[in-house]
Amino acid sequence: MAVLQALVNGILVGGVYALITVGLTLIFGVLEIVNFAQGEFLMVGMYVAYFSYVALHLDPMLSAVLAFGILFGIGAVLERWLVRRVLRGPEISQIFLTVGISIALQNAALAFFGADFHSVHVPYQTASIFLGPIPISVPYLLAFAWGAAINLVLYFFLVRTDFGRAMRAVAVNTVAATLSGINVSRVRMVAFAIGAGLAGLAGAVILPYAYVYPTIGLQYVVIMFTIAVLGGLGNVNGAVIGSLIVGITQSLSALFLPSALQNLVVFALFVAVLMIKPYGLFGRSHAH
Amino acid sequence: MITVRGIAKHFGGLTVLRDVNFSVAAGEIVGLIGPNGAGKSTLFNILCGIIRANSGEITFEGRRIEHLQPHRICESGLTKTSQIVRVFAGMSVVENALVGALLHARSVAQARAEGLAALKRVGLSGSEERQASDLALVDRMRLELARALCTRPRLLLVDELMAGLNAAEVSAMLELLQSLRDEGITLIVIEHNMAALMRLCDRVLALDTGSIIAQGTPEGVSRDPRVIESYLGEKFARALNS
Amino acid sequence: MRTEAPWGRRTLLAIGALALLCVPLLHLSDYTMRVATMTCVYVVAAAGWTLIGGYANQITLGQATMFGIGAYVSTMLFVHFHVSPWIGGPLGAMAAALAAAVIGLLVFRLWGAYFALVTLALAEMVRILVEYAQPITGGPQGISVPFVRNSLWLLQFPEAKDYYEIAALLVILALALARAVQSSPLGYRLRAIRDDEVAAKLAGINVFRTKMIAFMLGAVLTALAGTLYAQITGFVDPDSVLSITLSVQLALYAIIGGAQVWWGPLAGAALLVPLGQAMTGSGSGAGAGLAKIVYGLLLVAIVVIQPLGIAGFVKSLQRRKRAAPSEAIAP
Repeated sequence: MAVLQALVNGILVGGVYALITVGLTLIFGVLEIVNFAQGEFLMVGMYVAYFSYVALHLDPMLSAVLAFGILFGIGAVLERWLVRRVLRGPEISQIFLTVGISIALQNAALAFFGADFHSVHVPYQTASIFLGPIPISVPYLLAFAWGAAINLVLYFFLVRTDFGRAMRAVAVNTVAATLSGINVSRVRMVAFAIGAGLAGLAGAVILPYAYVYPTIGLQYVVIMFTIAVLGGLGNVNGAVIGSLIVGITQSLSALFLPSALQNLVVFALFVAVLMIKPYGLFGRSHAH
Repeated sequence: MITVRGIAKHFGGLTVLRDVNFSVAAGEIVGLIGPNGAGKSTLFNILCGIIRANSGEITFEGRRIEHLQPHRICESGLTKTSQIVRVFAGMSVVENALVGALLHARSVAQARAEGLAALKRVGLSGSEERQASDLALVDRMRLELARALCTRPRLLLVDELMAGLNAAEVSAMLELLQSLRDEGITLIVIEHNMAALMRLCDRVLALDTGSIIAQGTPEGVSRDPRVIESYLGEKFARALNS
Repeated sequence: MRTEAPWGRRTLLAIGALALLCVPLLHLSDYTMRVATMTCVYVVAAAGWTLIGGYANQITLGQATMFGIGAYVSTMLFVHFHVSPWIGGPLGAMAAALAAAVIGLLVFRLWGAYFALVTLALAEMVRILVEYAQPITGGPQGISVPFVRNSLWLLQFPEAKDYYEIAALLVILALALARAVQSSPLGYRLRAIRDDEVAAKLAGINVFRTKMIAFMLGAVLTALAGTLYAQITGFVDPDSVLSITLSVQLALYAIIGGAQVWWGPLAGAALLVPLGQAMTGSGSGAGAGLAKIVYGLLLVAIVVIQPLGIAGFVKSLQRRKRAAPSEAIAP
């Protein structure tokens, strides 16, 4: 019974992780950079939802759309003015540009919003529905639903629309994409913007069961990387599987390990996978 | 000097080399020809330990080396120059050469002296303090050769060192390679310039779709019908098209 | 550079080192001396990052692990067994070198971003374990170094500024080591690896061993800085010595100063630590936030404009100066 409950929880959490991680994966797939600021994009999304709630009494499930829009804009601007300039630069620039952005965002939040923890109160906060004997938390279920919906939408976007196909073409082979007339820099900008937007959306969606504070991004960022790498950086479908693996691993390990050590198992899994498959479970090697 | 037996290499489902066998005697200059994609550079990378073969044996001076790390193989006297020129872009020219010499030198100063001597041999005197990335492609190829010489190889694999050289430069390079042989360095040379190859090599191996299809004197191999069909013919056709 | 007389350069460096040791003669305020002392600690710690992250371009985001090991080992030995930090520090450094060996074994074959991510994950694992081992480490709340008495043997002084001479001495040692490495065969091998790993292998370099030596040396430096930090602040907790933030901060000092030269961490930390302290010193958390916004923006600016940091600016100036006259002479 406990195992079944843990499994269900794991799948729910995994679905939410899929939502949090999919942006990171998209950005790596198209731009081939690891966005270390993704956790901070999530944090900004949480603040957007929090202030929408305080000022307009907007439910985070709705302000998620607003958070997506705002982060989409921030992402587009950052790509246009900064990220673009290091894509051909040395590795150190590629890594530390987004590290710098994350430091700036994190501390801007600290300076303007203070270090306090904030949360919202929504009617369904503590509600559960029962799947047979197993209780399922409603806020998690809603977040899971958002995650499933977004992953479906993204899938159809990438497979069915011309722009989505262009994005995949850039991810596979930039030179060939350029030669076939795709505007590669525009595709990259949009990919980065969508990736940032999705992190913002995810931030709003998890707000009903999570606190927001300036360094919340750090709580999620290592988990995000773990998932993205497990699935193979740049592999959107792989990220979904990675999310479920991590979610289930976390909730199952909670059965026999103190909660303080839960993440230890996840990170150990992460390191172990990379030892065996240096490019992730479903990743392809990049020629370098 | 070196004996290669049954080397095979697959990348995923793609077979690049299948059952490659040949040997090279000390003091020889052997040419390696074949169309693009025949597996020539892969074979070089396997000999140097950069890529591992799926199967096969490599015996270098009586010792099996196919399981060794690249730096061990280099220490034992086998290295190569790369087709895609690989200089240390952030270093000066003399520093590039010096890095090779560190393998045997007892100090940086001694390595620098050896590096300077090697630069002189390949005709890079006067550029010692320039940034390697500022050199023209031809000079970067020379620099790579100098760095390789600094490791004191007894068998040197040379991957397309004459691409982009004019006739006079080709002659100078041929002379240099011959003088290396006179000093006791055995050479295997990948080269598309057939005229240069005919002048330089004692023997030629022809590789196509992962196997050695012909070997012998340069004249003999260049008249081999299979070589003409797979490689020389293709080159001829390319010349017509351009 | 080579044309200058090496003796002149060496004299200059000796004078610089002496000047660093003589700073207390200026009778600066306690606050200034405290900042100067902390700057020294971070210079040493960042020099440790430079050896592996800068010289060899193996961009680790887990250098805080080494700092934390240095801080925790000496502190726990002191608290539980009354071992002097003069012994605990070197033991901590050895522990950090050992940790570096294990981590290196796991990560050195990984490429680029994967390397950075795994070092980050491993550092988080160490942090989780330290937080969990509450009975020995004090857990998330940290552990205090009890003040016994004013004693050189116990490396305990009443004020942060009293540690200055020791910290400055450690800076001189660390930078001398970093400089020696830079011009040694090891330094050339590291630069070769940084530029092209495959070419380095073809030139006979044992890439794995070379990285390992640099990583372990760097771990020793950063760990010694960690021990000194623990003695100065009298308090060690995971947030301040094992966090991602610290890992990033150490890399940041080195990069802003110039990660590829021995004096990069000195320039970076000397610029940023006082800046940070000044802005934090002005009071609230908002001040700390503002200081670090500046850190973040500086980092963004430097990697976009000049990834070689301050050293990169200096180098391009030198180049221009050297290029100008020779162009005038050339026919």
